Amino acid sequence: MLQRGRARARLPWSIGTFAFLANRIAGVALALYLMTHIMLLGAAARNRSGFDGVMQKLHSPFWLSLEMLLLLAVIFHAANGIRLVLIDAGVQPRKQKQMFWWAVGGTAAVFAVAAIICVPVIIRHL
Amino acid sequence: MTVFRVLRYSPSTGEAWKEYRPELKEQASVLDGLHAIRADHDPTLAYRFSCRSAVCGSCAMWINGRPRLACQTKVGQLKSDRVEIAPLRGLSVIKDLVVDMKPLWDAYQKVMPWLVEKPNAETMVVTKKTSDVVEKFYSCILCAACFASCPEAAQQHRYLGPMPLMDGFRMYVDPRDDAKPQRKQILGGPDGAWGCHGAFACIDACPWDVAPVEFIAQLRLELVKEKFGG
Repeated sequence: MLQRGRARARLPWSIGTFAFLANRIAGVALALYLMTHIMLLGAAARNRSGFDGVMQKLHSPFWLSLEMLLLLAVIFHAANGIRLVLIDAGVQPRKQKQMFWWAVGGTAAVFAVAAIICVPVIIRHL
Repeated sequence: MTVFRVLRYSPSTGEAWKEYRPELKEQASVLDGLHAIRADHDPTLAYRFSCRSAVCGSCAMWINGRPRLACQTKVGQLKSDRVEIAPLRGLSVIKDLVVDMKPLWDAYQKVMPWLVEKPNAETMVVTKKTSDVVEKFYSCILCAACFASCPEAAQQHRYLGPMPLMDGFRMYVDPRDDAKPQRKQILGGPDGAWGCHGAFACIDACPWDVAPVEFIAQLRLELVKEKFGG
């Protein structure tokens, strides 16, 4: 017998499966960021000059651009999290696809506002 | 002519895709195609079927990237000159398109899909609200399409899966049932309702549009309400 899950047929790609994967990828990325963030701050906060040095490096356009990606991950994870909470609360599970697009739209809108505020700051650091 | 690409498997030869060009009538279903292959090309092709009218759930298989009933799926409706057929995912393959349904039946048995009658069950009134919930489940034909498309059931073999949870919920809300504490332990555990991580693949998979996740969400709500004395 070919053991369970070994057959070469793949899982169907649907919006739900994509949202499921994207939420987990964003979640793992945020957890990794948080750990790195705490470790970096812990190491930098040992003395004033060390702290200032790390802060100066983090104000480079490269790191500021990465912060925009971080912001995108946070907004998407939060918006999709609200979608999941609503479905768990029994709010229209059959409308999960439409709710996903609402989450994507909300993410885009909040991120656009954030970009309008942050991009000039990044440009100033170029 | 439509090409049927079938994922064949036997324990002695292993797994391999094979192509066939069966002669089909205009309104032919995928099941008709499989019958034609077996009649004209290869009599060793193994697959399950029974009612041919989307009621028994025997012919669920992976057709063009998603689970469908072979008898219900018209070749023309796939809008492709290639029909790719594989066994249901998430279940072990016995031969060709025949899968071992034991994990599903085991999970089904775990949720005790029978009524444990209260002594006064015969005189109890089932409200319209409860019967509406229970009725929705009767469309389920136990075809395993939801179980096979669920990424959680494929990975976590202890997870009960969409259909068993749905049926477990049906019994859980029945006021005539006398096994609520037992059911609560089974359905409320990490392998039960909380094992669903919301990929919602079961909604698209169901050939009868039952949406098991609706029942799982309601079951979770019931469990939370009871936890906080609601």
